[in-house]
Amino acid sequence: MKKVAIVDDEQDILDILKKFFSRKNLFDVDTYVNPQDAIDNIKTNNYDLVLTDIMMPQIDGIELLRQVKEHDKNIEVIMMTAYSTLEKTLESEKLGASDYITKPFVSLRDVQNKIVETLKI
Amino acid sequence: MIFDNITALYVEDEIDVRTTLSSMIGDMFKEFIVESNGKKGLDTFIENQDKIDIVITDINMPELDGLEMIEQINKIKKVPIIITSAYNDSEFLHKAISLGVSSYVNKPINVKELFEELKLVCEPLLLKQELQTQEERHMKAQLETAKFTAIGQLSAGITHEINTPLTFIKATFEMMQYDLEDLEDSDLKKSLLNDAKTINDGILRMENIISSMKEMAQKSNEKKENTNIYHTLITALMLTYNKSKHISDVYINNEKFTPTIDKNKLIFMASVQIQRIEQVWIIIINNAMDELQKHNEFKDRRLDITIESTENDKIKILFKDNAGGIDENIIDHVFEAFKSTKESSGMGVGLNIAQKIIYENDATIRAYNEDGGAVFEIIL
Repeated sequence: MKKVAIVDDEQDILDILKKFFSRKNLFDVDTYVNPQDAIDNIKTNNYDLVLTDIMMPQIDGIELLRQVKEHDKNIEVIMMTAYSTLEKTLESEKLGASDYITKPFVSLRDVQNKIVETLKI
Repeated sequence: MIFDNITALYVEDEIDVRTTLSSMIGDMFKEFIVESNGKKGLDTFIENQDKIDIVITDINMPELDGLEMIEQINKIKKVPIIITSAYNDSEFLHKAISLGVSSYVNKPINVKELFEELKLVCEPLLLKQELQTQEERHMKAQLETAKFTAIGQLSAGITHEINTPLTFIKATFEMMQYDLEDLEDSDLKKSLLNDAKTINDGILRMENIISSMKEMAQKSNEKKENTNIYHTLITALMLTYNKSKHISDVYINNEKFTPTIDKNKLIFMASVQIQRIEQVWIIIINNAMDELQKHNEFKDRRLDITIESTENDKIKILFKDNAGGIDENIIDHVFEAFKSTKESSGMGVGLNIAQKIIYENDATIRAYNEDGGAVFEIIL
């Protein structure tokens, strides 16, 4: 089964995503509330996809994307953002992000569809 | 109303002269106060010293003569003074000059001559007032800008703070509904699912408000750069593709848009704030997508974008949908804030923001209906 890491500084958002995807059981999900912790684990745990928030304290999603792609450019990264700022989105696109999702999500099913499409499950 | 910011005090003891002159020049002033002798003139001046800008006075008057009145007035406040008199001997003129009288008009008064003297004397006053109004206007504009910047920062903060809980409220509630749907059919389940619909409507409305606030919080100080406008259109189409692909095909210069389209296939160069102009395209495309959903079938919906050069070297961009057009009642107001064209969604600030950005980029935008659809025309 493919492995997905979800990174967000809001535990409530991680909880609901984890709960939803656990039921669907289409891929394994680990969640990280601390971006540095996430980067360390992504480097050792062979994730297929990372779903990360952009606005986070200390290390933002763009920096996380950069480090993940530096480590392994085959890891797919999907960005989540509360601000639909073009600047960040375009920067993410340049750095190799596969897709982006705006918050609030259209629906959890939409988030799932994007992950499934990107992973070609 | 040539002296319409100026208040004058006119002192003259001869009633005929007083009435005639008042009726001839009184209306040119903001206020034209008339008194019949030097004593009354002085009292009125003291009472109204804050608003009187100029004094016109006769000299030979009972109670207190003109020169004595001027002497007293000078002690209170320096204002331009025009005297009207039949005297013109040197001793008298010498005294008038020593009192700092601005001008002198011979009696009987030639109104044209008085008018010319008034113009000369009042010109610096008018100029000063004009400068003051300009400065006030400038200060007011600065204050407005500062206010909007503060509101912008505040709303950006609030937007983010509300957006996060809204995200997990919406997602958690979606889960709850899946759980509800899994329950065995009952009256309670039916009632709960009905309530869920109401909550969903509420969440949707909050989401729309937040998304409008996000648009307002966008920064506006981006520098202009010479760029390919066709490229900005393609970028906007890519960024809206997640939404548009489920709603309608979009054609650009008659070619169907796909995310693999060459962004520089056509070249139309102009100097603009790139990200803000892209924001305008996104607002218009998103609006069109919302409107196009009036048609039930995907195949009935279509958005056409055309970009071309005009005769006078400008770039014309048209967004034309087939969603039935803008309601005639609001078509003249679509760019005003809080005039949403949509029945339930949005605060109606999108097009207002778009218009502001367009103006800041020295371009024009207008909306009209054509062939059963709305057209937005931008000339850069």
